[in-house]
Amino acid sequence: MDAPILSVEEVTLRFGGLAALDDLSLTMGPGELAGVIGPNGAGKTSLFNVLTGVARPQRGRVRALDRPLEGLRPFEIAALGVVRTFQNIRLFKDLSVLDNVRAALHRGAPSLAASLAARPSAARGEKGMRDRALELLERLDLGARAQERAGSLPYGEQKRLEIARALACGPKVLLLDEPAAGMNPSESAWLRAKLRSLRSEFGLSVLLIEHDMGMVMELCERLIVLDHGRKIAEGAPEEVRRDPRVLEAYLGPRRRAGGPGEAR
Amino acid sequence: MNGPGRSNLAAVALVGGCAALAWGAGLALPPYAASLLLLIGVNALLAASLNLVNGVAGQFCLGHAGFMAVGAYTAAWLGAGPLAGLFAAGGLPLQAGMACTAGAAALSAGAAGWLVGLPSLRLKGDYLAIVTLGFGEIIRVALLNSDALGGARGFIGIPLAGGPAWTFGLLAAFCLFCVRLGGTAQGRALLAVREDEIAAESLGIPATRLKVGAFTASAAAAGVAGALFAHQEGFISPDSFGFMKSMEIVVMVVLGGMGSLSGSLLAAALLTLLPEALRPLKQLTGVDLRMVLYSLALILLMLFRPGGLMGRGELWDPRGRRGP
Ligand SMILES: Nc1ncnc2c1ncn2[C@@H]1O[C@H](COP(=O)(O)OP(=O)(O)O)[C@@H](O)[C@H]1O
Ligand SMILES: [Mg+2]
Repeated sequence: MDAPILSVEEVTLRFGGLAALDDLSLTMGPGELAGVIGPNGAGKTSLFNVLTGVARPQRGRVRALDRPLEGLRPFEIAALGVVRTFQNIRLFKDLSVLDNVRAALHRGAPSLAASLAARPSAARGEKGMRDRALELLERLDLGARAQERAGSLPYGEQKRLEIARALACGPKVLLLDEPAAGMNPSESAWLRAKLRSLRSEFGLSVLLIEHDMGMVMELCERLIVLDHGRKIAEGAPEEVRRDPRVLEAYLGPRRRAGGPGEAR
Repeated sequence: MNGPGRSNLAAVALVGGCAALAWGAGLALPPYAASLLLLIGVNALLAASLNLVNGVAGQFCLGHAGFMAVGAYTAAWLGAGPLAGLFAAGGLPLQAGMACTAGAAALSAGAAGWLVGLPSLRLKGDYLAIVTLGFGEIIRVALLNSDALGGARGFIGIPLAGGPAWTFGLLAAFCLFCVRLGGTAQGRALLAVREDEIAAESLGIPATRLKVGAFTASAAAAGVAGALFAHQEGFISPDSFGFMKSMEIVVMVVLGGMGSLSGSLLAAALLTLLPEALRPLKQLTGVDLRMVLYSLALILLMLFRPGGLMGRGELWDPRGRRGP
């Protein structure tokens, strides 16, 4: 593997007595599409929270794109190129679909002074943002929805809008938190094909949290399995699937029934 | 979108109309009515500026009268002290003096806003409400105990200046700023922060910087409103800027619809006129019913129109008028 584009070293994230992440280490190579699986409450979303600066681990180091992420605020990490979607959709519900994507283009926006003074450069910048946003919406088959209120879209389309919005940020590493959850089989099949093409088109490295095993097995080159905040297995999907520890984690006796309220 | 041009035009027409009205009124109306119109202008500026924080940026400020006080006392002190010569000369120097005191009021109140906003807006949650509540009280108590600024007796002898052109001109300028802001990337980013701060930050939007910026601009505008008020009345006292005043401005914004600029302007006019209309009732009963009415208005609003008069829409742009 090339020098990792993302690396997590011995990270521990605690909430009171509970370790959401427990001495977790993992790496990801450039261009890789890796999956993170594990039962509810395993710490998958917490891993994303740590990677994006939303949660601060008590121990350990996180690096992305050859830079340590300690002390960076979430918007700075996003600017570096590590961008996520959210498991429980976090759209700007009262804004239009178009404005959701435009908001994510903020970094390239004309300055406030230029916009208020209506300089030609600002008008060009605005036009560029609008075109780019519409193009991204088109790529996720949401072009016709541009003017609608984001909160009024059906669930599957909201999930797609989250992906469009994340792409607008110009990610190098894309973190997807259960993108297919709540999708019907045809939507989910569409998403698989879409993720493949987006990944090569945008040159993305993708870390995918997903419960849909069909999707994970088909898409991912490598799987990382978490349980109780620890990595219990890692490897090619077929190997991991047969790993007794994984079976135990998923099917073992007296599993917690579902996770408690998934954080963020 | 149907072009920022339309809403720009609408804003200019709205405020220009106000100005023309006030101008005519200044000539034709009896002094009482004319001063009432100026008061509407001041309150409209206060409400519009608070709307930028409470409505657009989704934060909650409970001490807006404190920033108004900072501006008012800055203008009063400058106008009666260092710049008294300009005001005494009348004519052009007086207008220049007015520009100086208004500018200084914007700077001092803006600086106060920045100082208050920076630590409290870094944090998520309702810290700003608590901190601004405290700030408003601290300013009031500090003024009460400051002999140089007149203490509890108030500040007398502020040069009379300003008038409809200043009040409605500055109001128009601020409204134009707010309307144009809505069409900029920074304005959209503020709305994104209001909708979901964590998501906004995760998409590369520097939420703290934007919130502090909006808050500072809002405080500066409140300071200008304070300066206008000081020069209109010629006399100010700490009591004019207490918690009641802050609440009055909050009620204006909520009544108008949080996030709606035209709603804030309408509600400011309404809530300035209402107590005047009820003055005979007060004389009859001997009780000031204003606070009772505010509470009643808020309760009725929550029951029948929780989004406020205009929701998040505008007179010139009905989208969102149903309210959130
Ligand atoms: N902000 C938080 N406060 C308290 N506990 C949390 C928080 N976030 C996550 N947790 C806990 O950490 C554990 C891991 O959660 P999470 O990362 O959401 O799991 P997953 O995404 O794998 O289902 C869970 O037990 C969850 O309740
Ligand atoms: Mg999760």
